Amino acid sequence: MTNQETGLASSAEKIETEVDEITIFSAGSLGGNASADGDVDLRIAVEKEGRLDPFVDKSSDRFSSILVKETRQATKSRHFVWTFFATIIITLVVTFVVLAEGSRSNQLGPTLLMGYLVVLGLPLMIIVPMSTFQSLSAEHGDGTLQLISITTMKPSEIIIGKLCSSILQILIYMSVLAPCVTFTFLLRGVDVYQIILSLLCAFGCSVSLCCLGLAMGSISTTRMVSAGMQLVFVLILLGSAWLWCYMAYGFAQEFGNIPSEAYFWFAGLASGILSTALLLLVAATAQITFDSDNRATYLRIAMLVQQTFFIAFMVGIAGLRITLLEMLILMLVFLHYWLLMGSLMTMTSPRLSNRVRRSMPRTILGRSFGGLLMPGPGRGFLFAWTNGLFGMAVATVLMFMTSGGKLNFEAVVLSGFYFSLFLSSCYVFNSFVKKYSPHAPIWIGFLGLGLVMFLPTVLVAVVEAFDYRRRYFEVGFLAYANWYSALGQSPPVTAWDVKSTKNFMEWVGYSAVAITAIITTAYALLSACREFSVTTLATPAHVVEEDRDHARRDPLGKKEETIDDIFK
Amino acid sequence: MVNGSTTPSIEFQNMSRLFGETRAVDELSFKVYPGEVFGFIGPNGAGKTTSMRILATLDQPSRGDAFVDGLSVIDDPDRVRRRLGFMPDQFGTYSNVTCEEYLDFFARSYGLKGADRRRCLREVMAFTQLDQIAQKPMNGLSKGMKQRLCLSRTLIHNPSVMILDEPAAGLDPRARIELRDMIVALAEMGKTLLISSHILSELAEVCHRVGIIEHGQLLAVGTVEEILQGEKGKSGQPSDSQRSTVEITVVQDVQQCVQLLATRHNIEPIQVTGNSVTIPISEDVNEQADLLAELVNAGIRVSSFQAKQRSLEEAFLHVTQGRVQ
Repeated sequence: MTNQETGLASSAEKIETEVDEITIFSAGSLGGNASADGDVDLRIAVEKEGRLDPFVDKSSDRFSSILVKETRQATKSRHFVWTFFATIIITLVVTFVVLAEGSRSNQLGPTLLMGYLVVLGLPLMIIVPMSTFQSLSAEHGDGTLQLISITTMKPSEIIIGKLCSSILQILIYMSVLAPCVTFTFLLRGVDVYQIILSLLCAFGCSVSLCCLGLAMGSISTTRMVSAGMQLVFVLILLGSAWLWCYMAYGFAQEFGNIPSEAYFWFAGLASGILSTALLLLVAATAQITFDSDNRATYLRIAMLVQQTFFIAFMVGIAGLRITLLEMLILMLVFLHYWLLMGSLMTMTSPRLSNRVRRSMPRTILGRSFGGLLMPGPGRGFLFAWTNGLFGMAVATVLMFMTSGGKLNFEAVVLSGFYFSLFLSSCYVFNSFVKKYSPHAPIWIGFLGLGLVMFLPTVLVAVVEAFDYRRRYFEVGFLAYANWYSALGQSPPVTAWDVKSTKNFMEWVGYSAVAITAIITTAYALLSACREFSVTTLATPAHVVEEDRDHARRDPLGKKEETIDDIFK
Repeated sequence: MVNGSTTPSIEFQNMSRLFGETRAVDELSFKVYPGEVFGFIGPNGAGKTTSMRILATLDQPSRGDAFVDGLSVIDDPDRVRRRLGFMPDQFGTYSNVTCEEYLDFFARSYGLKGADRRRCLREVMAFTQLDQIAQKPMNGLSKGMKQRLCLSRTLIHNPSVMILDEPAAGLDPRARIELRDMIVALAEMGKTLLISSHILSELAEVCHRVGIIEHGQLLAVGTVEEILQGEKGKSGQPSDSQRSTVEITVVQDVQQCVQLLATRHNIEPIQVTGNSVTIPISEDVNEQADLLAELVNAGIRVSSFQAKQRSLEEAFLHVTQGRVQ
């Protein structure tokens, strides 16, 4: 149904006529006492405007509606104008102060660069991320998010639109300071790489903080939560600004002294931050997505991206001078990442909506690799478990290669058992919670993980506190309930001695952990596999017909995505 | 069925929504047909807004389902959104945005592009008479103007089904009349409207049918007359709602009249005010005529015999048994 059919058009035509009359009247009144030249000038101005407006209007169609709206808002906002001019004034003040104080110094370039980078940190590390957070939390508070979410815009478009708007602001602030920063190249002591790297770093950090702001804004659903989140976010931003000042000092003053190995660590840190930013962005999108939609797949893909970066980092770092203990710690970080993610994924609803079942993979490739990307706690458990073990295998190979084949596998195998035991116990615990409280929030999964990991340790501590023989909390047989203390007293970690002999109690401790892990994991795997019995649903005929109709009307319109589309 | 179509534009199918132990909506089932204006009435906290939010794909039912043009709000929310316009009771505003920019933003959000978008903006602003204040910042608008702007936003993608939650709340009488006229105009365009309101007299004027909801349960549904006559009563027995009242004014002998009514017709309660007697009576006009004839034959000089039409307010109070929260 078009607007013409509804009768709105007739009203519009009437109004159009009125608008024309007003234009004629205005032109007449303007030209009443004016000369013929004045009329010509006016006409030229109107023609130019007439040419420019449709161009701008047409161009804006290519951008997100959120970006267009927020740019309009920002250009009229006093807050933006004040911040913009304040940045310029502070930059000028910094320039004059540094030039006045250090005109005879050889360090003029680096000092000025540091000053500019610190000034740049104010809008980039505090103001833009804060306005990004407030932009989304205010949509929640004012009830406008619900108006946007019932439009045909996808949740990802809303979040990306907000991020694009923030990126535009970042670029505007950078465009003010970038010429000043570049100017320092003309002074002594500043390298071109120094400038490029520092600007890229500022941009990356600011975008990552905006992603964090969006993730925190997306969960600020009530005024109270929003106030709490705002406080936490302000503290994070202040901390980030403080760190940025240190980084600015590093970029400006210590750039020449940085060892080449540090670049690798820097690249690892940068990839870690950016992949986490991606995960936060997807999490923010999932948070505002309709309940019956598939919120898991893109989150899991973002986790895979993060895992890929981490594995690449581990592979790279294996070539550097790194001890086996450091490598083992990296492996433990990796396993804890999957424990954490697994605890959240296993807390999701086991019921798949019809909408999700329609989008389940049908192709061989999709079924082979896409099954674990679909929602569900069982699939989530399997996804975390397989990825954790895969990363552990990679780390083991790297450790074996770097140790020249002298690796004692005990610490690795023990970690594998602990990882499987805690993840599967968490899955079983979360399934139990979900059974009796189907609407329990997802963060309960964290509590579940904390409980299965640390409750046995607490119990051990209590038992040992009342045991006179272990009054001083010596690590003993019961400490095998604790992953860290078990690894701590494990000879492979401390000595890496292949021929180390174990006493009987230690072997019993290891065996108990291994047997418990095998039983729990087997039970969890069997439970998780039941989720794969859910059958795919066909899309109803009237929905297919509706989509065809819509595609005819809007050939470039949005289409529903399936897992198979990802593997196409 | 206003347009004679058999596929309902809106359908609630045994829909329930639970918030913990509280049943906000309990097994709600009814249909609204294309071109129909359906009034949704109930006391505060009855479940109207919850039902409307579910229909607008802002919430999910705990059980059952709701459909818009046969499309499930759970399984096909994006498809439902293309054909649905929702005007909530709370009006969210943006700072530093004019009325035109606000509508332009939503037009873009609905995927309208270029000339199409500009045409829709013109038409909608003309319909709601917002064109005069297009460049005004939306934060400075009066309540009435904000409601118009909200209605414009709801109309921007030309939905076939519209849900208006308390559209007349907080409006002055003039703005209410204007809003009512706009609703009538929308109904004439063939749009299906589901409206909730506390101003029942206005609903009675514009709605083809109404549904009365209380404690999440649908108590009655039908035209205003049907509800007044209690034809949709659940018990199947003639209920109080099927009875009207009649005011009989006599020249003299009020007591004789009361005695006759009490003894021969067992009517109660009988209210006597001066020379007037008010009694409950069936809506059946033959029965009313018989009673009048009997009074006259008994020698009672009747100066007026007036059956009172019961309003939607009375029917609402009756159906909800006065338990307004």
